Amino acid sequence: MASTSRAARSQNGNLWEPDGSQPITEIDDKVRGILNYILDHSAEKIPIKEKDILATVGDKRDLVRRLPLVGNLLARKFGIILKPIDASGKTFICTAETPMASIHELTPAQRPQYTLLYLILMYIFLRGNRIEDTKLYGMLEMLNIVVDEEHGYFGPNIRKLIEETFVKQQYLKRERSQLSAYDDAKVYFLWGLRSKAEFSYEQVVQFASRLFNQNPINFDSHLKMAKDLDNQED
Amino acid sequence: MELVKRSFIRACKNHSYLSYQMIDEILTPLCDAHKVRKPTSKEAIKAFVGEINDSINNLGQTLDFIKYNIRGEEYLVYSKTDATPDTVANTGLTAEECQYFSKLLDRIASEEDCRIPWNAAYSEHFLHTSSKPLKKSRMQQLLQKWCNMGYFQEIDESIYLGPRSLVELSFYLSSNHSDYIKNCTLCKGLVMWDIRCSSCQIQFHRECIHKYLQKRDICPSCSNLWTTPLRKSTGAS
Repeated sequence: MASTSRAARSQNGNLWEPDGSQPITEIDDKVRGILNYILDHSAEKIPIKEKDILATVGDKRDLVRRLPLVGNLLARKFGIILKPIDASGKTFICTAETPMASIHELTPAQRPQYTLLYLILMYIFLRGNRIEDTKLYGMLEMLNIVVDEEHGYFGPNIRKLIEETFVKQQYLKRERSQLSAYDDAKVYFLWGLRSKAEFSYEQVVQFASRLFNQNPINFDSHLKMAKDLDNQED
Repeated sequence: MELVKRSFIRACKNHSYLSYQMIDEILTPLCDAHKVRKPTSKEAIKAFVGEINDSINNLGQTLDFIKYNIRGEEYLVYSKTDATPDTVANTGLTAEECQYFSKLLDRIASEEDCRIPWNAAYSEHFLHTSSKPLKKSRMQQLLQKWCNMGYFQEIDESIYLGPRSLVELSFYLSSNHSDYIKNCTLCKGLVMWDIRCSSCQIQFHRECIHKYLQKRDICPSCSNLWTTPLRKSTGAS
């Protein structure tokens, strides 16, 4: 397969890793091992660190050479996108290539959490993509969802679900802001990386316009604001 | 169509095991959203799943249909190929919790009917060998989780082996618990809670023996006349 012609070399030029080793393109047991590790851990939705995967492969070089193929297989066969969450590229999350077509794709146990998340994401979106935690909890209270009390549908530990689980799963991003050393720190919630990958602002607009019985056009300014903010970050 | 297949496989992985009704509930909006024709008959669905299976089998994943007689239902199960109790996707669990899974599985599989009374799942037997014993509430939580995943099923006060165990761990079960867990001699697949010969008591799949008896009228195992009636099972065909 290796060709020494100049055309072939230049074609493969961008595949050469910095340490000079070529990525693996054949599926071997180690590729299967890495793929299975990622598939097994993707259900929890917690970010996967490269060093955690190392146990299945042993050698860091073996891992680095196989990751491109694994990412490719995950995308082509499962529609799962392996996305790095920081600049170092050593930590990943698995997101779906398209949003769900219906709530039936979730198990009955998962649906209440999803509904709660959707409400929160919608509220954050409508309030300019960033909302103080106290204001968010105030909104939920208006819907009879008290974060420190057990809810008949959403269950117990709602505060923990929002502040820990959703944040760890990258659905929500939590930011602390302190205007000065004399002020109390405030906590804000924003859409997390996973939410941006698994939900679209347009979906949220549809949901909000049905919920509030309004024309989707009324949310155009919100849409524009959200997209502009995303473009700024990129 | 490829998008639909990939979304479907993700949904199957999420659910672990699905009935035909659930398959339809997932496929209807999905096919609608991507403007493709939905496979409607069981044959069409099986062919659809077969195509998906061809593309994932070499990666250690599989989608298989299994008749789960205790519920009279046929399920589509998502599982890993070549799995053992230690390699099932019990991520995020402590070593003691994983051990509880193995022990519970072995305990149920060693019973003639592959079931135990529900309270036996929390017995001291599972705790005393561990240095960090599990709390009963945690055991209940885990059992619920494993039932949701299809490894076990709680039916009428008993805990049975679930459809996912029967598919994913069939090799482990038939090798380690061969007293009661056998393979159907006609198709070589695991057979449980199914039709027995009235002479030799050997078990067969209803469909396998039905097909066999269309050509012959004796038991494939003991060669005596087959007398057990093959009543049509509810909902499974």
